[in-house]
Amino acid sequence: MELLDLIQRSQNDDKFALEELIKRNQKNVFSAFYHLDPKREDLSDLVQEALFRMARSIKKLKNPQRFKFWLNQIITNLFYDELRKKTRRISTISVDYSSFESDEEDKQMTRDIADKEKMPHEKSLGQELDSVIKNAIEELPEQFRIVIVLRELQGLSYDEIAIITETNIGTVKSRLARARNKLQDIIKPYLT
Amino acid sequence: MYKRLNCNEMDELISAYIDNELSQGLDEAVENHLAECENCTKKMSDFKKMSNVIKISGINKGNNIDQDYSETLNPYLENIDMCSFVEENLSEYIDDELSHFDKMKIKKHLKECKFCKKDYETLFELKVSLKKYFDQNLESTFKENDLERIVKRLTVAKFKDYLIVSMASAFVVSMLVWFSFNTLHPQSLNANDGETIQQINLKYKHEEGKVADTEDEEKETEE
Repeated sequence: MELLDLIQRSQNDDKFALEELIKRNQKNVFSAFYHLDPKREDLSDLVQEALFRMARSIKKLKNPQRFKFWLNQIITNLFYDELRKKTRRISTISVDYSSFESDEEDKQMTRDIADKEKMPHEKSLGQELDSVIKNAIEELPEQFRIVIVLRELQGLSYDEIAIITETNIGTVKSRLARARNKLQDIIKPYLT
Repeated sequence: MYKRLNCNEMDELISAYIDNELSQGLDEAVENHLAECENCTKKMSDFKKMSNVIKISGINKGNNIDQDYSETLNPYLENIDMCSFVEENLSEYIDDELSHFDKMKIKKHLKECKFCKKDYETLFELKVSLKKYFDQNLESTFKENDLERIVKRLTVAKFKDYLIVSMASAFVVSMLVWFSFNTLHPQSLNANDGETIQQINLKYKHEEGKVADTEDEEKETEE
């Protein structure tokens, strides 16, 4: 069944269509949260909450064509909510983020460095480059990580990212460029 | 095969590299060093811009100065501007977020400028690597009972909504009934709380009686 059809049926109280919609999007939602915050131990709770919110407010989606954008709004808002609730964890300590301090309005809410121990769902990532990319993304400040995930993983436009992150296109462009420069510096030796 | 160059050796070679005066082997050695050294990369970028300025000065110092040298200067000035423009917009270009006109400008410049082309290729490689990385299938922890939990929560939430709506409707209806009963029923003007219909009738009759007595008294007085 086509996604649009599935959404429309879900909006018409078709229980099976709604369950199918949840099943189809759970992987994408999990992937987004994983890349936004890999060290969270309650990733599955976050995924459940995001899917619940999606299902609960599916009728409020006026334009089913914008489903991907709308779902990412839910994901990002939930991520921001969790960031605000987040307390300092034992496995994280301060990191140098001075290179991003200059004109960035939104400071990093927490300072983390990667705990090198692999989580269970990371076993499928085998190669060295993947490991380097994963660590490089983890080391980015949250605001930069969000734009990288929304752009590179979710494929949203600059305009959509600006709306979701409640900034303007100029800020999105600047964050993306700086995030990419930082990733490039780390990854370059591993690229052919 | 040339040995790995150090930064001091790079300082000596930058100028010749920019002017394409190095052998292929040395060219490669310079590029290998640039791939690993941020400082030298920055120096290269600054030197590239400076070399355009130097070329402009060189033209000014020529023996036969063309008074109207703007035509000669413009390509160099445009080149500096274009490299800055490409540097600022490369991310957008690669994401296909630029206007058609700007896209065409950058495309044309990338064919002419090997430094900007290199920057583009490096960024493109990064995008490809990130795409491969994100496209990998992660082992999701979502299970069948997670779906059941969500469905259960939805059912509970729907029931709560229904309950709230029902209670609100019942409240509104009861308010409407009470209001209409009190406004439209005539005896309701003298009714007190808790009075039964019989008591109200008696009261009404008593009130009628009082009125009748009063009317009789008035008649007797007149007579």
